[in-house]
Amino acid sequence: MGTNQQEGMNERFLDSVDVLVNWARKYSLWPMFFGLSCCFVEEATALTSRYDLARFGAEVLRASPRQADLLIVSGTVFKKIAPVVLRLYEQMAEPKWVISMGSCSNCGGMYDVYSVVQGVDQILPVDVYIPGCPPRPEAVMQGLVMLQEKIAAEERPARSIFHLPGGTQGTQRPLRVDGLTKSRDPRGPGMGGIPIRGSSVVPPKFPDSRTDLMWTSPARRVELNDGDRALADVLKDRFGDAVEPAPQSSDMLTVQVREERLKDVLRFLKTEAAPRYQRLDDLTAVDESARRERDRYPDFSLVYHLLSFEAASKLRIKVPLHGEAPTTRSVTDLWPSANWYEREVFDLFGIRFEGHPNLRRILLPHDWEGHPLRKSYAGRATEMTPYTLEDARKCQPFDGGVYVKQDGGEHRLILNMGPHHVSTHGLLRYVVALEGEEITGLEMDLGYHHRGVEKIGERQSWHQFIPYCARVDYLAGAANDLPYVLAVEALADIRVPERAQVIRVMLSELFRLSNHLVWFATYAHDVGAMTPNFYAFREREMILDIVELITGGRLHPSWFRLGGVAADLPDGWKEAVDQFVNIFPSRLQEYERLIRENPIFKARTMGIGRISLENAMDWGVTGPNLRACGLDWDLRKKMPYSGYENFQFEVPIAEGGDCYARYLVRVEEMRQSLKIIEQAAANMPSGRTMTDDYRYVLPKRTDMLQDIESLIHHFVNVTRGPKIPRGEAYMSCEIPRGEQGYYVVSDGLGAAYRMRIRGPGFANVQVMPQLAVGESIADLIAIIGSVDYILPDIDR
Amino acid sequence: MLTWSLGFLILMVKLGAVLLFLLLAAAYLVWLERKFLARLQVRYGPNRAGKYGLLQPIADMIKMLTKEDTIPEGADRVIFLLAPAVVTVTALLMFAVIPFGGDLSFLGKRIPMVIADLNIGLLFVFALSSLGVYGIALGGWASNSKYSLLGGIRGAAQMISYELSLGLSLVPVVMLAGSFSLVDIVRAQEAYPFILVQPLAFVIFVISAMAESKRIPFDLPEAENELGAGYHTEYSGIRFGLFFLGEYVNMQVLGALVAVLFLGGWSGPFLSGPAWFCIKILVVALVMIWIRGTLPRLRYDQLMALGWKVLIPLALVNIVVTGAVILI
Repeated sequence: MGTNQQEGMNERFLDSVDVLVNWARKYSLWPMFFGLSCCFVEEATALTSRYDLARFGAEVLRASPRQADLLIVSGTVFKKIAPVVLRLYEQMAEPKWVISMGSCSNCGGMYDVYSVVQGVDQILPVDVYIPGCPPRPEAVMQGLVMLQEKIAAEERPARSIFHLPGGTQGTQRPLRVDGLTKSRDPRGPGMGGIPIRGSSVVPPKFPDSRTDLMWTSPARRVELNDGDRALADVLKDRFGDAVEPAPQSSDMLTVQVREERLKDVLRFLKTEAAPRYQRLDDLTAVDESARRERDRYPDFSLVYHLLSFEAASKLRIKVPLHGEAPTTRSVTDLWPSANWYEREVFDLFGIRFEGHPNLRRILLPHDWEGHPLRKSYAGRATEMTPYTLEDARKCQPFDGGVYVKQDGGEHRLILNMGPHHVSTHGLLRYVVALEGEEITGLEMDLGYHHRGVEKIGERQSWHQFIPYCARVDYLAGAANDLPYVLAVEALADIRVPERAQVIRVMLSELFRLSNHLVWFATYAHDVGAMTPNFYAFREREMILDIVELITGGRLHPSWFRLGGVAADLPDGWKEAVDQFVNIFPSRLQEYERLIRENPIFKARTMGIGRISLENAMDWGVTGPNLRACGLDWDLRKKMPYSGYENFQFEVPIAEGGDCYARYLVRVEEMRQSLKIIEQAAANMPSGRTMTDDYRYVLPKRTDMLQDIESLIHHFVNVTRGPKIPRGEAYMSCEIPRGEQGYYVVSDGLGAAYRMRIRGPGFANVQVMPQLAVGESIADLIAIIGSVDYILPDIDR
Repeated sequence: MLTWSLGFLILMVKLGAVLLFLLLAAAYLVWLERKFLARLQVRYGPNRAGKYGLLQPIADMIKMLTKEDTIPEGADRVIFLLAPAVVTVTALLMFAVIPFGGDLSFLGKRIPMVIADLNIGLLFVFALSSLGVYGIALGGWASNSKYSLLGGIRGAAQMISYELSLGLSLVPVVMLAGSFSLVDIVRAQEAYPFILVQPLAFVIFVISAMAESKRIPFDLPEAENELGAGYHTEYSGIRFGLFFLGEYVNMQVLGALVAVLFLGGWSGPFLSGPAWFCIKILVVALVMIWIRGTLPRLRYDQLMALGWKVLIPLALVNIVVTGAVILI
């Protein structure tokens, strides 16, 4: 036999091994249990009943990178998490493949912002890109099939298996370098040939004065009620010149307080005033240095929003601060919840708080430079130096021991759960000190999901910002849009037609149901029951079908508009809703029975993760978590908005504040939401779905095509954005997870001057050590499941 | 000489057949679990690799065999590499004493359908199942990872605790059969299977057996929501596959033990002994999968409490009662 013949036989043998191994590998792609943000929800949906990724042999989600073959990078790659993604990738055993899922992971997507890597391919090689924001589950399957085809067609693994030189397996693509092998055009792909703004051809900036030239009526002015007026007088009497009630306001009593007396005023309001303002709803700052009328404003304003449970009213305290890096006093001794809020203000604005127990960065990595929400800070990632593999290697997070201090030389086991862990429900890092399995200390490191959405809010026009709202809480979809549009509508005095209001309520409640179903599924999964997941997602698909029928989208419909909703309800919506309303109660009962009376579930949740009502109020806990402590507090009832006062429903509460109570509240909320949906569908008013005052809104298309005034409004409001009158408004709504508030500040321009989002998760998660210390690791998982938070609204 | 070599040949054939059967059955048990769970969850399950996904286990096996075998830095290499084998080998060895059919006649020779009919068969099984703990505890420890360590500790504590109730629950069976030999125990059930006279022992045994095999609701050593992948977090490729294999062989062993000790072993009408035996194992396995699809997971201390405060006392009471009944 000649050498050639021998080699030919060897080749044929290797070829057949290639075919066999490729066949095996393509049907045995075990994905890592890995997700970064919204996209992961659709990835997980692809595993559930309707889509069933298991058919391709790919349902074996592995929590350990060692056993996974496939990394589906689903969601936004943040600069803070990128080193972790890289590490997980490197921990995977060869051969390994990477699918980049969704626009963020592909190229940064909507988030061209300081905290986001503009595409995962800058740090890892990628096999398949799935486009979409987020891609549908079908697209995930398509991506998987494309990867299977790629493996079968392109790879030659046999030589590596027999330790021969040559052959290929796994990902072979080179890394991309932002600016060199990859476009840095912030306008996205498809703009080839058109120069980037700032080049010699196009002037660097739009002159803002175009908006200045437009006239707009002043901001809405509300009449304060007697209680608010009396409170203003009391404050004036007691603190004299130090307080100055604002002459007018678009939403609530606003009091300017001098920094020296701030703590006294706050203490008075919390403990002595009538009514008492017991909750620190929100604390944030505004950098006033870029105001159009610069001399009327200080350098910074601190803004405290307080809430009174007794009078169901809110109050705004504004504190002017001067200087480049001003200092003020911490209020953590008044409200423990101020801890994280003050750290956030420090992190993003560089304002220091004296007396704060632990003033360090909270959202951004510890080695970050600058304070992004300052007006002087450029916000776009494409304006910064590209993020590369070296950066990902260099910028490692701190060791767990830095967070949990070892006391007295006592040896404890410090366990990092997260930032990427199966049960942290997103990118959140728990640093747990353990004594056996008992938790003796718990610290959290957040900011792994910081998408810089507040900075983005300062550059997108008022309408352009709506798509970002849904992504602040990616499971609550349209329910997120509501506080934003309501806040802007309050500021600009936009009246919303009744039909649009009811549609908004119906959509919000559908999303509450959909969110609670995901919560139910993951909670059950957290305590180890795998099947309820699939049942809950089956019903969730029904809801998303309705949402898709009405809005055309699934997770992020972006369907509410200033002044109404994007379009009228389509034909057939009522039948779909009615069908769902008929089916759902029995389905809910069916699979709830799997859980509610199950002795193991009860043993795992009853009496676990308790929090007292006083604590919950002090820490700013909201939503079902607060109601599970026995307080009847629901904004939909107490401070109704968008016509909730016209609906019959009950606010479920439970006693005990433990994991089981939180379970009971949410399940009952699903039933109540269904009641609201039923009523909304039955009594849907007729009429317009968009206000007929077109100054600030996007006019109806038919009007726009027939009427020159509407066309002009449409053109102006779409291109440079409506000029919203100078002023500020804070609006909070009861979204599925709690109270989400938008504080919008306008300087009379086409985009917000400051866009502050108060996420319910921020406060709800800050309280976690109160719930978990003293319990075991397994309990911590149950507690995390029962609190139901979501990362983009904690880190924003 | 001839009889000796014939005996040896028969033994080899039996060994080969049992081993092949066990490994194949383990692979297809995985397939069955994935299909059955999918059906419980309104899904199809694997159906692309081969008809009804029947080639799925083969694909998974080839994939695992050709995957990189990672050893973490700082791991105790020898123990790390051996641990998965311990789990699989002990599980396989247990089948040496389990009878899977009545005697067969071949060339005038009586061939017992068991590899070795030890008179201390049951004790042999217990001894091996105790050894299996080492694979998990050492594997978890040797990985030099905190999650693995926690998983390993949980595994060790859980398996040691449940071994007691497992053993105690079987004392009445031994008392009734009057022998530790599994063949004798099956013979003793010719009139009626022991599940009828020992329902309590049966329940305790099944619960403990599920805890021994680390399946939901007792899958704490590898509770993925808590510990990532638990004791096998750091294992990749075929070493992870061996843990997996061990688990499913264990499932068959437990099914076989339930069949032998409580369901009358191979006996049954119409069908042959081994067929009945397989059916019984399959039923037990299906019930275990069904339970996995239904129940949440217990917490560590609850698991311990159930074992020490409920199952062991019950088993002791059962022994006393059985003894009293036999005496009377």
